[in-house]
Amino acid sequence: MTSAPKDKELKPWEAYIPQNHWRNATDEAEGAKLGMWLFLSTEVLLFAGFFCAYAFFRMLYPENWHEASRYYLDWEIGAANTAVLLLSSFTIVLAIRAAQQGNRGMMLIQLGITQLCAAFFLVVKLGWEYWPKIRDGKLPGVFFDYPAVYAQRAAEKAMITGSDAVIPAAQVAGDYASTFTPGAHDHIFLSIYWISTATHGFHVLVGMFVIGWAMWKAYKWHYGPRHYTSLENVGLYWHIVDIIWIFLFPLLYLV
Amino acid sequence: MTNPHDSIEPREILASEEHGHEHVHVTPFWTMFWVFAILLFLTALTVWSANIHYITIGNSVIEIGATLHILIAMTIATVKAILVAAYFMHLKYDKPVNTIVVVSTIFGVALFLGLTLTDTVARGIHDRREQGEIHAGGDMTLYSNPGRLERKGAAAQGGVEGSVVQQSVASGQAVVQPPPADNENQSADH
Repeated sequence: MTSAPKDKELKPWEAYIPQNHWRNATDEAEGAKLGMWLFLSTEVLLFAGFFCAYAFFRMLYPENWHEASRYYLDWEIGAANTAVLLLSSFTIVLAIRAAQQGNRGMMLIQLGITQLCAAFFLVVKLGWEYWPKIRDGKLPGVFFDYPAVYAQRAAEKAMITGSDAVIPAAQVAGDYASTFTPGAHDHIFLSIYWISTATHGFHVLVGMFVIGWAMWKAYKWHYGPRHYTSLENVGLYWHIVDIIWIFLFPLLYLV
Repeated sequence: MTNPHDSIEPREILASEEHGHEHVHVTPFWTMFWVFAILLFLTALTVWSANIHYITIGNSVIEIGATLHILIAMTIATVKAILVAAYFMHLKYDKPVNTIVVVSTIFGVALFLGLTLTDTVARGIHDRREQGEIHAGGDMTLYSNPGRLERKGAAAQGGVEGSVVQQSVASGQAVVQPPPADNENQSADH
């Protein structure tokens, strides 16, 4: 006969009672997880719209899409962000493992690292990608500043191809910088870029709030070996954000 | 006999569950670590392959164009997504219903993109009608290709089509205008 725990103050995760329409706590946890997966399906379909737009416009205007991608975007920044998001996925998994083992300290540390990775992602995106583009007029759709971008491009080219070239052409041989000419459809490429990455960045920001909420709950002893459902669901959300970036990165930055 | 699940007293519920279903699967740390390492490696592979434009084997050169680059990158990205979903998102160790939800979503996305793109690819077709190539009387491009018309044989009836063909052959010009719809102008062509 199993005995009830000694009469001491129970932590919230220990005292957790599933809602009484559930057979037991395991069923409740699995139901919550299924519900989360159904929500994640809607998130995937949201971004599928952007991927569809990408495929559609790339099909219509393939000429300098690749060169525009190389000119307007830096793959190094994208690769760094990808690595950081992968790390954050790893650490949030470790946080869930810590919850399963009842290790509150490790939970908080791993969630903290996840937060830092998310913050890194947003700071790099906003500071090194978005701000220079806003400053230079490389904006989506009707906001694209053709004269400013064309002038900047002409100045760059003059620097590398003029007779008194500041950067010798040989040095940039093979680099897009020597051959790219702004095209009539660059604003479309940038539209796809801006809407996809901005929506994704918004999801990262929401993820930061949600991870912060999970950190608060972890701090308050709400997660333990028998109850870590909402932490798991936060983890699922964060992994979907990561998976979407896994697809966005090569499409926007590499090809 | 009282059902422990009828109780709202946490200790009693916990007592009844201690022998129960808490077979929580804790994924080993090193499994997660190696998945993470493979993900990083695949990212590097994607970046590296994006810079390969030509493969030289002996005397022949294979050009890797944009389409092939996209295919390679998307394949690697799919492998990465499957790794994240199976291990990090615990699908491998969960009940199959979660995987079924994911597969259905992918099916929905495939339907979404697939049907949209088949429409996009077919968009030039109506332009041929606007330019008069496809006419109520038939496909006008037949008239610039007499051999093709003869093969259609039984379909070419009356002197209207034949006269137009003779005219085009004689003048050596491709016929682009549609032939007269009525027979009144037949005599003019003879």
